[in-house]
Amino acid sequence: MTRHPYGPDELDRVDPALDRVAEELERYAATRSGEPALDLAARIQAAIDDEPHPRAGWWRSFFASLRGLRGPARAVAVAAVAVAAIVGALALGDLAERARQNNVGASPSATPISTPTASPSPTPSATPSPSPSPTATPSDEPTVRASPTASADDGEVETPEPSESDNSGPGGGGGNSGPGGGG
Amino acid sequence: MWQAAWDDEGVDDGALIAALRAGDRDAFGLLVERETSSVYRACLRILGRPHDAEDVTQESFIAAYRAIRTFRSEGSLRGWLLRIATRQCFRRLEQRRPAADLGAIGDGLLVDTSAEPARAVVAREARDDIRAAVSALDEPYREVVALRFFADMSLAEVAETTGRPLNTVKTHLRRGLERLRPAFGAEVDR
Repeated sequence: MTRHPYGPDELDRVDPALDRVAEELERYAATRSGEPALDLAARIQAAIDDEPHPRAGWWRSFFASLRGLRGPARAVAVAAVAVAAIVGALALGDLAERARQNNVGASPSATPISTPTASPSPTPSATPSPSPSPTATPSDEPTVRASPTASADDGEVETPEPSESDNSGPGGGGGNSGPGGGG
Repeated sequence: MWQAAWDDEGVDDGALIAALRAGDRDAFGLLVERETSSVYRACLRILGRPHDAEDVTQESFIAAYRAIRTFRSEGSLRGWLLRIATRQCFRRLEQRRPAADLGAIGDGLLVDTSAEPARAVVAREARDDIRAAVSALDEPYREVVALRFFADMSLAEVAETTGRPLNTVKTHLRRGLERLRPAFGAEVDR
């Protein structure tokens, strides 16, 4: 009934308890040896006919072919792939470097483009703006100083949120009274 | 080419694989004809319900058809198919788990109509216990136990199909059986 009956020597060690478990599994399998419905194969074939032609992606085909190799051939193929990957990465890096150099040399744009950020960043920017351009930027809001660090030095970056245990944080000085408190 | 092999004594795997990789649907039809029973039986042993077993058998062949180009020639086509099928079965069991297992109860009683009702219920429960114990195993023990006993593959075939060394497969089988021993306690202590 079973194509490959279990043998006690299968596990290379004598263990009657495990043999009995295996025999139980075999016995169970023997009770569930029914045949499928007669038309099952035809139904499967009909479902296959509805399937599009299987197309493997190039990477799948490639790795499938790699898996088919054995021993030295496989090692050579893997080494070739690694070399190709390294060469490709180097070439890409070189291209990127050239593109960057071309950009730097071609457009000496001296005008620093300052993009006005709409969101009030809580951290005061530490980078001094090189050009105090008087051209009025059409921003609705005045340059935002909404951060609680009103008296912070310009050159110093501070963490905007005082820790709860730190009562002498920026804007503090009033004990537990928070900013805007004092009532 | 593969037709000649088929006419002799069954389909030669090498010729069939070449035809399958070339996208020959007729070749796949031969594979379906040849392996439907063995795939169905493996599914039935894992799932317990004939209807589910047929569903998963069909799903397994479709999955195999879609992935035929990734088939490694190391193992047999049959082993490859059975491995796909056992995985699909365990996936189905995981989906089924939250629902009440009423279908299996019906199947069990239908199978044992000639037996006394009490004995039929006991037999069904024993089968459910075996299925549940195997499906609760961790991988790779579950896969090895299922391929060995439910898919009726030899350990050498399991090793070939899974791409693991034979001794590793033996170790997995032994550990799988050790983990099953408590669940089989009542039966094996008899």
